[in-house]
Amino acid sequence: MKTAIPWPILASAGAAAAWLFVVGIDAGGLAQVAMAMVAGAVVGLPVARLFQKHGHGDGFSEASQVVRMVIAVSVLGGVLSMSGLPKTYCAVMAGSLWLVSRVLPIPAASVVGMLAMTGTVVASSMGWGDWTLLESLWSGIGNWWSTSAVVGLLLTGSGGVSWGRDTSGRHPAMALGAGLLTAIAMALLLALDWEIGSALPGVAALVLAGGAVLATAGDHPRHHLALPGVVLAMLLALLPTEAAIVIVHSVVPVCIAGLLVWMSRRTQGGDRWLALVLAVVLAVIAVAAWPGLPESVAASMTVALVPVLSLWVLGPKWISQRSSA
Amino acid sequence: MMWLVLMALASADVRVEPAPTAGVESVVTLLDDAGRPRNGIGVRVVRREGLAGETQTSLGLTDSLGRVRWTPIDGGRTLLQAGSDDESIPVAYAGVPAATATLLAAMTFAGLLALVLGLRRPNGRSHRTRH
Repeated sequence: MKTAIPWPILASAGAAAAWLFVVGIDAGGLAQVAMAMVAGAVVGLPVARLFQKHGHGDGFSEASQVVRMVIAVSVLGGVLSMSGLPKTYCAVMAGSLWLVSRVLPIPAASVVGMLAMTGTVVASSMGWGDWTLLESLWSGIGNWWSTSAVVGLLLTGSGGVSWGRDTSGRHPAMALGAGLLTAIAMALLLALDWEIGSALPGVAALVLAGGAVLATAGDHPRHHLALPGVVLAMLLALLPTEAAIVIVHSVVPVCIAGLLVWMSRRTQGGDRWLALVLAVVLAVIAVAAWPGLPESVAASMTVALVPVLSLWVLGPKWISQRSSA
Repeated sequence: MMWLVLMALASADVRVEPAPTAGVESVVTLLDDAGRPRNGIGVRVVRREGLAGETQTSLGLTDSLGRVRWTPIDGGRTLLQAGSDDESIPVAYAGVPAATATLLAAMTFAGLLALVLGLRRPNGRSHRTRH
């Protein structure tokens, strides 16, 4: 059986959602998932579509797009972090409405199905009765803010890497949707685990293992690229938090830096220098982020964004190189 | 009285009546093993224990009848500490926690919407498995 669904996107979505839980959903409750959604929808989707359309341009034009994205993220972050609870909540709602308005009209059957699914999720969670973990703690904005925003950008970025050479702009939305639903499911599972007591690691491993099976069963020529994402997701879900933080903020940047050095040997001109500069920056990031992100929101945002930028800038080029080799 | 709900904690000497509800006053009663009131015992409640945003509130010392009054501010799991005893108890919400429910609904809908959008073909037909 053949399938056209790019499974690597789903695996990447799982990995990004697991990343969100490295900082612990208990730090901000559902506010963390909401922040990932806003960052992905407001900034990630438009920029990912830009990369899909112009992903094979020269390094300079891509760098300018990245600069624009950083500015957009900074403005969004500044507005949100300076806002009090009501304004922040309004911003989240506005982001949701903006997303809805972007995709209308959609089939009525889909709307009904989505409403039914949403109602089921909310109603079942309400039935638990006495949970506190999912309560949104906007006042707890700190280190989790940058990680949540980065997750949103990673989700759309993973969909924008042109796994299937699709330029219609659908894959970033697919990745964002799959990642958000995974994050919500993990939040609910964690709330169950915290408030009632359940075997969360076992459930997470089962879900992620299912994702791995789906990834490897696909016939996409690059389906094997899903495996690193699935392995990372399992590591993040099963390892102790301290170890997962080290992996995300130090080991992953070092690995990306190594990939960049390898790529720089195969590229010429501006791209070579861009790869080398990013590799050096990532090495610095790996040291600065040890053993965790800085306390400052601005510093942690800067540290956390660099791996995302590297993925966005170099992902399409890497895929392109692998295809032409 | 029928409307009063008696809650005996696992320690068997701490009682909360009526069952704690946000915004509703309850009476915490401490008894010793013989069923006699424990006077002068400090009682406090911890909400979101171990989570970000944890709050601790002292309810004061028990009176000669072993009682202290408590009006929970918010619902959710709450740790009641009385002397050397502590117990995690549920505090009912006065109503549906609107902010959390709204956020959960909005994000679930947005996630489904994005997924459906991603699965749709450019001409509007859904992505289907082909053989």
